[in-house]
Amino acid sequence: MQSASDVISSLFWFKDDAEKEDQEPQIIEQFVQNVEDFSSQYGSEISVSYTAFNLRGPPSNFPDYGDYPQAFVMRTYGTWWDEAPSAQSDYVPQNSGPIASQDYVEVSFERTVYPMEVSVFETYNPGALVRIWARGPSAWMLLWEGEPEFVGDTPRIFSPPIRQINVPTRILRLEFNHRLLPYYTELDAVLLKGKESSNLVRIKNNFSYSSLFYKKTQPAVEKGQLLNKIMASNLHEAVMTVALKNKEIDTGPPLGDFERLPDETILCVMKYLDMQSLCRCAQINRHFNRLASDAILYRKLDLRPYWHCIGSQVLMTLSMRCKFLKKLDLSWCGSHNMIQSHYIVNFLRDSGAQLTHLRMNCCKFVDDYVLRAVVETCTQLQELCLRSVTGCRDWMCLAALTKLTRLDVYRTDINTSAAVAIVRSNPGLEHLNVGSCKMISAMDEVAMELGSNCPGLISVDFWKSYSLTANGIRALSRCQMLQELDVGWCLQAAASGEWMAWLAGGELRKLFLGALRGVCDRDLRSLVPRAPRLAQLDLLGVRAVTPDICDAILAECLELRLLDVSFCDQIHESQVMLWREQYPHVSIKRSFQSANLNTAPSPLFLAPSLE
Amino acid sequence: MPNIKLQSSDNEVFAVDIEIAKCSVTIKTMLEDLGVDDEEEEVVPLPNVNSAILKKVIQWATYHKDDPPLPEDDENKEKRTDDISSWDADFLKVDQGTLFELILAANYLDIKGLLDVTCKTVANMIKGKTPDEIRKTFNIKNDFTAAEEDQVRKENEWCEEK
Repeated sequence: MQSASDVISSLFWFKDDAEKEDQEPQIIEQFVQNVEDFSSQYGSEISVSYTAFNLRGPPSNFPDYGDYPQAFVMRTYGTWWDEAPSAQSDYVPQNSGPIASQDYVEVSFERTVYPMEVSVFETYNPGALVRIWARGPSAWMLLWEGEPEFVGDTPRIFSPPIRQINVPTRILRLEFNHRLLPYYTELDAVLLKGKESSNLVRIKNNFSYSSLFYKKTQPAVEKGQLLNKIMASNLHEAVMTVALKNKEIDTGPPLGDFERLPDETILCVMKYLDMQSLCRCAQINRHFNRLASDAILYRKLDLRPYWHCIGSQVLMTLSMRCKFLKKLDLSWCGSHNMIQSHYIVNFLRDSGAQLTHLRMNCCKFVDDYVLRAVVETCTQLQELCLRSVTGCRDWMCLAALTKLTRLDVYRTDINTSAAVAIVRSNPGLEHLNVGSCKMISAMDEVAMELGSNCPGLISVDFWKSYSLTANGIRALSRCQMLQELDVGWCLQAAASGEWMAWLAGGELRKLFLGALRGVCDRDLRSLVPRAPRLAQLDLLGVRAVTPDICDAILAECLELRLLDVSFCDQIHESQVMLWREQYPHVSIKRSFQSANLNTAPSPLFLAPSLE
Repeated sequence: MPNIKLQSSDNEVFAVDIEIAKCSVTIKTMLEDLGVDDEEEEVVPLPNVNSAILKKVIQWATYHKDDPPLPEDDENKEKRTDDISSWDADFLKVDQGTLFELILAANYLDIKGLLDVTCKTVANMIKGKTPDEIRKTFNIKNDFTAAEEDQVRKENEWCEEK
């Protein structure tokens, strides 16, 4: 494979063309023109603070280091969300490979270039970037992949060595793994350096790429000598005869070491394989092809790690293997029209009848047609995750589902009546995420429906629900099993924290109260004695809380592991240091901003094209 | 500790603690069905396992005798392959023939823990290899016709674009 791409580079390096035509290719540097897509953001839909939008243009904070609203911040960090009651694990963990990722952002640039360098300006907790992809005319190409790291408290411009591709691009996708980080990572800007060429040359290169790309996928490099000959010649038949004869002469069983193993045992081995290895096994020989396509291996299908190469045709092929499909994850797949919605509908109709779990987070192909197909076909659904799905309006149709235990519609356009109706028809609901759903104009109604209809509710995420008030939260007092409540940035509920006295605390493990300024010591004191199992408490920006109540919480909540007291004005840095010494088992978070927030970015970091 | 005698296919007899022998569901069921008394000096013939392999199996079972029972629910278990203990990894540093014999024995004797760890080991030998490398590693013959091979490749090459 490598040699093939080397050949491509040497043959078609566009500089030669440019020289021939006396057009010197120009090296340009450009910052992000637009943010095309992303999986999560700390910021909300109604303000630019902490949103992906902030990746646009030149850096606004760099080289300042710290927590600034002008940066892009993702929704999670570390492993805290994996340890929370609402945690979701991958359906097929072995597919993720050695370097997993939890978030991505896709950015576009004004001019199409042959990428030479990608620089990511990291201004808080750097180290989460694990992959850089470039969008070519018809496919995604990996420019760089590396392990996540914990670099420490220092701003940096991260420019990993990227693979040279002979394809022009103006779209990059960055994947992140922030599990190692002690707090949110913040990204300030992305700089793409590359060679531009004239239109003429660009067309030529496009052409040369697509023809070579095809060649590159030919197996010639990997297959044996004999097969090469078969491929190269038109004398298939004749060579085949020779091949068959050779086989007859050859001694030894056709399945080699696997010969004596019963099929069920070979399947046992295959159950441990990731998707790519299974697809390779299918190419070994007829027997392995049959086994590697066995429906028993496709009860769970997790295609998210393969988002960059899943097209409609792949789905059609896989559909034939998915007769027993129970869990399907298509998250992140289908960008740039790689999957059209009618293929999904066909797939669901062919293989979706037994689905109990379905994730289509960030999927562009999810439209009303797909939603209705889900409802009509997958009547057994217990889990439905449609985070950041923005292409549909008929959310109400989901109310036909009745067996849901988990619904995740974070950052979608679902409205109040649809959300209420879905909650009403699914009394077994245990986990609900309606965070950042800006079209839910009366979140209280959703909360009240949860309170009266879902006694088994375990977790609910109202993050940045601006219509939720204390009345709504109070209605949750009937959910005695509640283990997790995220009401961070629910600013209508911020006036007072008196509702906390109503909350059932017996099972409570996680409570996120970020930016609820009205919450005070008294409110927390009414809850803490009843919440002995509290493990994660976010008090970011809860300005009224004092060290006294934190002392009490640290002393009484023996299972506490996370306490965020960022921007708590009453709590001094020295106090935090003291607690860290006294309670080493608790991770006490305190974000900070360095000085000089308002100084203009250094001209050094302005892109020539944007000057 | 009461012992039980296990006889390999090549007629070697091994005296084994009965609790250790019972990690094999096959032996356990056999003893229950036959109603064999702990006191009796019974010899259990295992015609599908030779002495070299039986010795290895007993070694494995002895080391793992205090393991908690594995969950029956195989369906929802994580299929990781990077969690093989260092003892098991050392234990399985054997030639390929022995590894496959161990799989066969674990399968025949119905020892789930041993079957799991040997299958994982073989899975790790497959991972990251091209179809041709897999064939070479395990001496598997390619019986596809050129047309079939072409078709199969088209269906399965999608995840190679990384």
